[in-house]
Amino acid sequence: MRAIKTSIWYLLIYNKLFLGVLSVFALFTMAVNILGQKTFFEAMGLILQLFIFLGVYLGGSLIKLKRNYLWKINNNYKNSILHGYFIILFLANLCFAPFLWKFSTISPLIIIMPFCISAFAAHLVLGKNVLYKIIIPAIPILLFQASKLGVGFNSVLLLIVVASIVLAMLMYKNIFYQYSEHKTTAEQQKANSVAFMTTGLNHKHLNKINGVIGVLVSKWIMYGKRNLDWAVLMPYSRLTFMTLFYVLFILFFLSITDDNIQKMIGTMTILILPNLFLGLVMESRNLLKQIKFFSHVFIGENHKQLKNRILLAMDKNMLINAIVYVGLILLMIKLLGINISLDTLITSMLVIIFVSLAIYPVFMCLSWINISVILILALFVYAAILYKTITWVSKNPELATTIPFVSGFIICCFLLRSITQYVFWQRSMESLLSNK
Amino acid sequence: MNNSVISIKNMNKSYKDKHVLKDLNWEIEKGDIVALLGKNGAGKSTLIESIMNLRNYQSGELTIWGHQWKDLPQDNRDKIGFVAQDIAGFEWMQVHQFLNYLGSFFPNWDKDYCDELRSRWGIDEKQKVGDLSGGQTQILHVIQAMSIRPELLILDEPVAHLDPNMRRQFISELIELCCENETTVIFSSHIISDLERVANKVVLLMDGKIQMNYDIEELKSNIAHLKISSDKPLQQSEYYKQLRNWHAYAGGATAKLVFPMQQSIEEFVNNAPHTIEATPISLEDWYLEVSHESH
Repeated sequence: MRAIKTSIWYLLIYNKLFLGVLSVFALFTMAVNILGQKTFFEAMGLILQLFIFLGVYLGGSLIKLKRNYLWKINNNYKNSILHGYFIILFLANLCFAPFLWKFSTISPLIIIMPFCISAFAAHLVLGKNVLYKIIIPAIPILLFQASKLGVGFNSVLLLIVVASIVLAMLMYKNIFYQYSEHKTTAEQQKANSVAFMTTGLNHKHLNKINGVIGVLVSKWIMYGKRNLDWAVLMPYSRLTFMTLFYVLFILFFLSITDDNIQKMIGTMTILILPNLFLGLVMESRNLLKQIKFFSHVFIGENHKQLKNRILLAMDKNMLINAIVYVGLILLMIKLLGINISLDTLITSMLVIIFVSLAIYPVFMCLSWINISVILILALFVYAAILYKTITWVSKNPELATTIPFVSGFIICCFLLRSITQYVFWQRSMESLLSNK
Repeated sequence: MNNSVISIKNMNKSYKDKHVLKDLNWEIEKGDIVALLGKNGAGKSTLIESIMNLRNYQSGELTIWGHQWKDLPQDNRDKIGFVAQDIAGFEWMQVHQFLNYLGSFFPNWDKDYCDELRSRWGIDEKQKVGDLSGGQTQILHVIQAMSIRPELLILDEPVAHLDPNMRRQFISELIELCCENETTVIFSSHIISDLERVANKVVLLMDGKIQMNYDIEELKSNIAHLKISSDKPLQQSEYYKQLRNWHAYAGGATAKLVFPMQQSIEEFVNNAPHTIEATPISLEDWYLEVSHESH
C-alpha cells in the first residue's frame, strides 16, 4: 500500500505547472456544473475534456516511471505504479460522478465514461510510436461512430467500457514497455515537458520531426545574417506545422460531429488561437539558452540589440502562424459551409492576435517550467483582457468595427506592448538564459 | 604598450546568500594560455559567463581590450570565440547546418578553416547534432568557436566528455592552432594532467578569489616533494614553516613544498639544517594539496 501511495504521489507531481492548470480546469468544470443548468452535451463535453487532459498528464508521468529498468524486472514496481495510475483515475471520476448522475437515465455507463476516456487519452503520450499514439486514443471516437450505423447509445458505451478493460489488461501485460529512453537528463526532462505541453509530442519525437524538416530547409538556414529565427523556434513551429496540427485537430473534430456541434467551431477556434501563441512563447522560452553561443556579437547596453532581435523573430513567427491559422479556418468554414458569423469570428481572432503580440514579451520573461504566482497572474490578465474584449466584440459587432474603436484598441495594444517590451529589455540576460 | 586583453577589478557576484566571487581581480595578457582551476562550485563557470557578459555581477569592473562590454566595438566582439559548459541546443540541425547557421553571426567566419577542422577532428557533416556523443558535441562547439579565427577564446570545461586519448590529442592540437593564430585562451578544466602540457599560466579560483596565478614552468620548478633526513623524527621547525603535509617518521620527515618561495628550491635545500632530497611533483598533486589546504 505504501508503494502505491508513493507511486500516486510521483504520478501526480510530474509537472507542477500542468498540474496547476489541470486543478484550475477541474475547479472551473465543477463550478460550471454546480452553477449552471447544463445540457447533457455541454456538461459531458467539459468533463470529458478535463479527463482527456488528465489522461495525457498521467500518461506523461507514467512514461517517465516506465523508463526505469525495474518496470521490466520487478512486478511490484510495475503493479504499484499501474494501481496508483488507475486509483487516481477512479478517484477523479468519483469526484465528478455526482454531476453525471443526473444523466444516468440516458445510460448508467455514462458515469464511468471519464475514467475510460482518460485511459485512452493517456496513450497520446504512452503510445510507443506515432501510429499507436493516434490509433489507441481514436478508439472511443471510432466506437461512437457505430451509433451512426444503428448501434444503440448504451451498446456503444458498453463497447467503450470493454475496450478500456482490454486496454488496462494490456498495460499490465507490459506490451508498451520502453527502456531505450531510460537515460533522460534533467535538461531533456524539462524539454520533454515543454515540448509535450506545446505540441503534444515528446522531446525525442519532436527532435526527429524537426530533424526531417531541418534537412528539407537546410538551404534557408544561412538566409539572412544574424537571423535569430532558427535559434528561438524549432522548424516545426517556424514552418507553421504546429498551426497545421491545430487546424487538423479542428477538422477532425468537425468531421466526427454533427451540425449542432459544428456551430461550436467559433468558440473552439478562438480558444485554440491563444493556446497556439502560448505554445510558441513556451517553446521559444525554452530555446533561449541557445543564444549564449553568439549573444556577445550583438551590441547595445544590457543586450538591447539582441533582445530586439529576439522579439522581432518572435513577432514574425507569431504573425506567420496566425495568418496561416486564420486563413485555414476561414477556408474550412467556407468549404464545409458552416453557418457562423464570420465578421465576429474574424474580429475576435484579430483581437487575440493584437493582444497576444502586445503582451507576450512579459511571458518571455517568465519561467514556464515551474508554476509561479507571477505566471498565474500574467496568464489571468491575458485571459481576462481577451475574455472581456471578445465578449464586448460579440455583443457589439457593429460598434467594434468602427474607426474610433479600432484606433483606440490599436493604441491600447501599442501602449501595452511598449510596457511589456520595456519589461523584457530590463530583464537580465542571466535570467533569460536560465529557465528555472 | 598595454597588452591586457581582459582586466577584472574587484568583481563581486552573489546568488542569494552565497557570495561566489569576492572582490576578484584578474589580468589576462595577449597570448596567454590560461588554465582556470577550481573545485566544483568554486565559481569558474560564473566567472567565465560574467566575462562573456552572460551573467550580471553586483559590483566591480570588467574590461576587454580596454573597453567595457557596452562600449566594446563590433570588430572586437566578432573576434571572441566561446564554448559554454552547457552545450545543449540545436539538436535537430545537421552538423553543417549548425556550423553554417552559427557562422552567419560572425563576419570573419572562415568556412574553409571550419571544414578543415571538422575533417581533422572527424565530425561528419551530415550527422545530426543531437546524435553526436557528448565528446563530439564539445568538439563541434570548439570548431565553431575556432572557425572565426578568434583573438580571444574562452572555453568552459571544453574536454570534460572526451576519452583520455582523444582529450590529450585534441587539446594539444587545439592549443597548437591557438598559438599559430596568436589567440589568447582561457579554459577551465578539472583534468589537470592535460593542462600542464598546454597552458602557460595556471590560475586557481578559491573562496571567490584568484588565489594563485602562476607561470606554469615557474610553478613546476618551485614545487616539490621533500624528504628530510635525520636520526630521529623531526618536528616542523621555523625553517620549514612553509612546507605542507608534514609527516614525521623515524628517519626524519616528509613534506611538500606547494607554495613557491622567494628563494629557489636549490637554495632552500642547500641552506637547510638537514639533508633534503627534493623530487618534482605533478601539477595534479600540487592542485590536490592546495585545494585541500583551502578546504
